[in-house]
Parts: sequence; C-alpha cells; structure tokens
Amino acid sequence: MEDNTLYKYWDSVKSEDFSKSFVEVENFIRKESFFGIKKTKSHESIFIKTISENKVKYAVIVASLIILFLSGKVPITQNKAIGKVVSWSMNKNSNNAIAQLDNFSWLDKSNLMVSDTVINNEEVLNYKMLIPPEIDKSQLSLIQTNLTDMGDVYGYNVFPVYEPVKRPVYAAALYSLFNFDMSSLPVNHAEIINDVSRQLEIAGIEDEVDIDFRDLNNIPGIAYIVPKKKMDSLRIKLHNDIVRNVNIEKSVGNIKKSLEQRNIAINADSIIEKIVIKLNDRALKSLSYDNEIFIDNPEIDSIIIRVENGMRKVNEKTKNIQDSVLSRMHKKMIVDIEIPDVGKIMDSVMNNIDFEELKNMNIKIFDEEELKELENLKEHDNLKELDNLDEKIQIEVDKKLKDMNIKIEMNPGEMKEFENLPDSVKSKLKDIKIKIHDHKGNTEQEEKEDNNE
Amino acid sequence: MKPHYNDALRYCWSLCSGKSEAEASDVLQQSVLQAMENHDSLKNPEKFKPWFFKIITRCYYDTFRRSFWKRFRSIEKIESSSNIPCLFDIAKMNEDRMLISQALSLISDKERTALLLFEIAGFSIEEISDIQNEKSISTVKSRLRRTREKLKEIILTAESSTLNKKSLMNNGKIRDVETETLKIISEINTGKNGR
Repeated sequence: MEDNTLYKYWDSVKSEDFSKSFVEVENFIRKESFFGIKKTKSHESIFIKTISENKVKYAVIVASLIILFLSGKVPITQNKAIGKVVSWSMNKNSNNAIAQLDNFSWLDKSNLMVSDTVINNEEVLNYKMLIPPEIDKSQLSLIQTNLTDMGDVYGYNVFPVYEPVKRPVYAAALYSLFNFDMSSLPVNHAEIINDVSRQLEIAGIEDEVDIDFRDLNNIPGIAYIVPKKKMDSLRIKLHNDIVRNVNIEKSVGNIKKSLEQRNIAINADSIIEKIVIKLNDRALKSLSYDNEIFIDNPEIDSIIIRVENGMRKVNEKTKNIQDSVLSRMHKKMIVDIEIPDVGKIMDSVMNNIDFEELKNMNIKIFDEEELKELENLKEHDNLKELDNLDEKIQIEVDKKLKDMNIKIEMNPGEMKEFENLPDSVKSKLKDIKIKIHDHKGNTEQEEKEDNNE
Repeated sequence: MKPHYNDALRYCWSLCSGKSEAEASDVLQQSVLQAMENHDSLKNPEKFKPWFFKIITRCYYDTFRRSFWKRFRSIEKIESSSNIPCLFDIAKMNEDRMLISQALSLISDKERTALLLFEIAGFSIEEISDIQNEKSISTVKSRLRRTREKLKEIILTAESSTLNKKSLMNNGKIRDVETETLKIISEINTGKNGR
C-alpha cells in the first residue's frame, strides 16, 4: 500500500537500459587495465598505503600540531598571588599596645614594615605585614581578633599582593584551570630595566636617571635608580626588618671615603653621622659596594645608601615608581629612611643648639640652575598639579614665617617638616634670626647683615 | 560485472540525483577504476555485487562530501589515462523518471542510498546495513521506512500541484522559491505523520 504511489516511479528507474553501453565501458576498462591504472603496490603495507594516500592530510595535522606546540611555548604574563598584606595603625604613644604586639605568635618581624606619619598633629605608626598565601582563614581571623581586641588599633585591613610572572601558554592554562603552578620563567635584568625605563617615561622622567640592577646576597631583584644630575642628599634603605639599633658609626668614615672616591660630595656629614649613630649597637661587616653597607646581623640583608638628586619633584616621582618595582621584585619588606630630614635635623640640635653646627647643616634651597630646571619640569603635565600644590604651601608657609620674623629658605617639603617642629624649637630659631643658605651661599654675609639689623 | 551492469548504472545515476551527468560519470569512472585496482580484495566472487555497490557508494560520498578534508584530497588517488564515456543523459528521462530523480535529490545521502539499494539494486536489509557500515539492522529498517514516507510525501505534494511538479522537474539546481517551499511543506507533513 505504502509503495503503490512510488511503484511507477521505481519502474521508471528500473526501465532505464544501459546494457548497450556496456561495450564502451568494457573497452574503457580494458584500456585502463592495459595502459593506465597506477595500481598501488600490493606488497606495501596498509600503513604505508594509508600514509601515501593521505599524506597531505597528515601534513596538515602535523603542521597544526607543531603550531599548537610552538604557541604553547610562548610566554604570557599572569599575576601570581605571593601573599596577603595585613595593615593596621596605632598611636605612637601607645607604648603598652606596641609592646603587646611582641606577644603575638603570628607576628613575623622579618616580614613586618613600620612607617610613621603625622595625622592631625598625632604621630601614628602604620604597620604592614606580609603573610604567606597558604595562611588559612582561622589564622587570619586570629590576627584580626588579636588586633581589634587591643583597642588602640585602627584601620585594620587585609589585601592580596600579586606578582607578575611569565609562564608559557600551557602552564598559564594549567594555572588558570587547576591552580597548578609550574615554575615561572626567570625575569631577566634587561626586561626589568626596560620595564622601569618605560614607567619612568610615562611619568615624564626621561634621561634623568641611570638604572642599574644587581643581585644582592644571592637575593635577586634589587634595582637602583640613580639620578644623573647633582647629588646633594642621601637615602638610607634598610632591608628585611625594621632596624632601630644598628651601630654603623664606625663605618661612617668608610661611607664617606667610598663616596668621595666616587666624587660624590657629602654636604651633611655630621647629620648623616647623627642619624647613623641613632642606629647603634650593631657592627657593620664590610662596605661591599660603592654605596652599600652589609651588616653582620643575619636578619638584616643590607643597608643601601642611595645617592639621590636634589630635585625633589623628580625624586618623588622616581621613588613611587621605584618602590612599586621593588615591591614587585623583592618579596621582603623594605624600610626607607630619607635624610637629610629637617625634622630629624632639628631633633638633633634641639637640646643643644650649636651655632656652628647649624651653619654646617645643609638646609637646601634651590639655586638658579635648579630653579631653571624646575621651570622646565613644569612643562610636564603630570608635574603641574604637584607644582601648584607646592606653590600654595610655599606661599602659606612664607607668610607664617614672615609673621614669626624667621628667614629660613627651604623647599616646600622641608617647610612642611618645619611646620611640625615643636614651638620651643621654632621660638629658638626665631631668636637666632639667621638666613641659612646652602654650602654655596654667603651664609656669613647674611649673618652679618642680620647682625647689623 | 555484466550481470550487474544495468543495476549498477541505475543505482549510480539515481544516487547522483540532482547532480549533473558529468558528475555522475565521474562517480562511475572512479568506482570502476577503484574496483579494478582493488579486485584482489574480492575474495568471494559471489559477493561481487555488494562489493561493487559498496565501492560506488563510497565513491559517491568521497566525490560529494563537504568535509574539511575534501580540499586536501590526494591528487594521486587514482589517475586515469582517459575518461569513461558519458552514459547518462537527463534529456532521455521521461516525466516520472525526472520527478523521482528530483524528489530523490531532496532527501539525504544516507536515506537515498538505503532506499536505492533496496528498491533498485534489490539488496536485503542485512546487505544494506553491511554496505552502509551500520551495526544495527533496525537502523536501516527505520531509515527505509522514514525515507519512503518522506519520498511519498514529496511525490504526492508534487503530483497535487502542476506548478510544483513543473518546478520539481525543473532541470538544474533546485534553488527556486517554489521548490524550497515544497520542500518545507513536505518536511512539515512528514513531521505530522511521524507523530
């Protein structure tokens, strides 16, 4: 029934007669069998035969696999979690609370960084501690509980820290999919220097600094960013721990000698000495590099004294970039102490003001050349805002100093430090009525003029 | 080969429904050449017919497959010193033959192969499942039933409308709106019957 409809159509197909053409096909077959057909060699194995018949196909497969393999080897950059940073703040005068910190088992001083700031005329210690990524939630909550229970702690915060690593595509895929961390490719020095240079260029600082890179005590990844121009201030960078009591007094002579050998003038030797003396009780091992000091305390990797350019604005920009690069490359904590620091200078002379010592202090002003350079720097858009801010501060501080009848020329950063000085010091300085210049200036002449007044 | 010659050519020609005479000749030529090349693999001469029809089917798929690999077909596959004479001629087809040819072109290759092997070549379902490399006989059975219904619907729809019949019988590629509409109608009807 179902096929009745199709019968006649099938019949029409079956009625087709090709038998007359058989002779033609037969001739074709005979002809081909005699002359034409390239018969595959029967003794060839199936494997060889398959390969030879499909060699183009296999060639494409092999080429695709090679491309896939090669593309898998191309390194790409990923962010790898290197830990978490717990940060909190405490009042500097909360001695009991600060002492209490030492009782916490989780406190790892080797990964702790402390910096002090002044907020609303109140000295505040800012703590930052790096904790490993494998720390579990219970430990983290213990830290939070301990700190919050102390009462004097505020601003508790936890945030992850990432480090850019380069991995081949396949390793990156494994890491992304399964969190399977294959060893990352080493980042070479040239890459880091290029990276730093690029960031400096973005910040508008070109041809201002030299970039060097060294491995220090087998710890890779210390980048030095040294300004090319006039050097009139020093920075001491302490690695690996907060160093309060390190005796490097004996080595000050070595520092000076080393720096003098490099034709770097030190304008504030006595001040450096005083700051350094504060870090007493530890002996220096040697002065290994031109501007580095190694200390025999195994907890402390090194002290690096970095020579900086006097142009504060350039240095501020450089410092930010440099710190970000250093924090990425060096997992250990770094503490910066910058000298000369007006606040510390004033501390050192507060109890016993010595006129001669005060004269020798290098309270820096801008000379004509530097002012000209600053004017040029203002052309950079990214510095304009900073300049405007400094100008405002300068005007404000100038007015206050004028009211106090104090004639001290300082740059805006130093002015801010001056503002924080105790009133007793301010009043003493007011009484002195001197105009302090840099070492090039005619200080004595100014004094005479003041005396005449 | 002679006893099966007519069936083989009818099968090949019907299998190439919707294709040109030259394309059908090409399939036939490739089939004949492959059969000559691989005649050693035919161990039982009594099985010549299914063996040869299997070669025709494979040659048809190889010629018209649209896979990625088609563009990488080996140029050394089989080279012939001459061409087989063109044995197929659409002009010689009567109205019914032309209609079934065009209707066959509207169904899938697998369905067309199964139906033609059964109706034209006279193979059993077991033999068809072997030629089509199907593991299950029931698959072939259901395929045959489904294809018959589909083909019947197409033919009936074409017969009911002179316009449809003409457009279905239109030589060349089926691309005109009427034929496409006809195809859709038949598919809808087949779907209804399936329920």
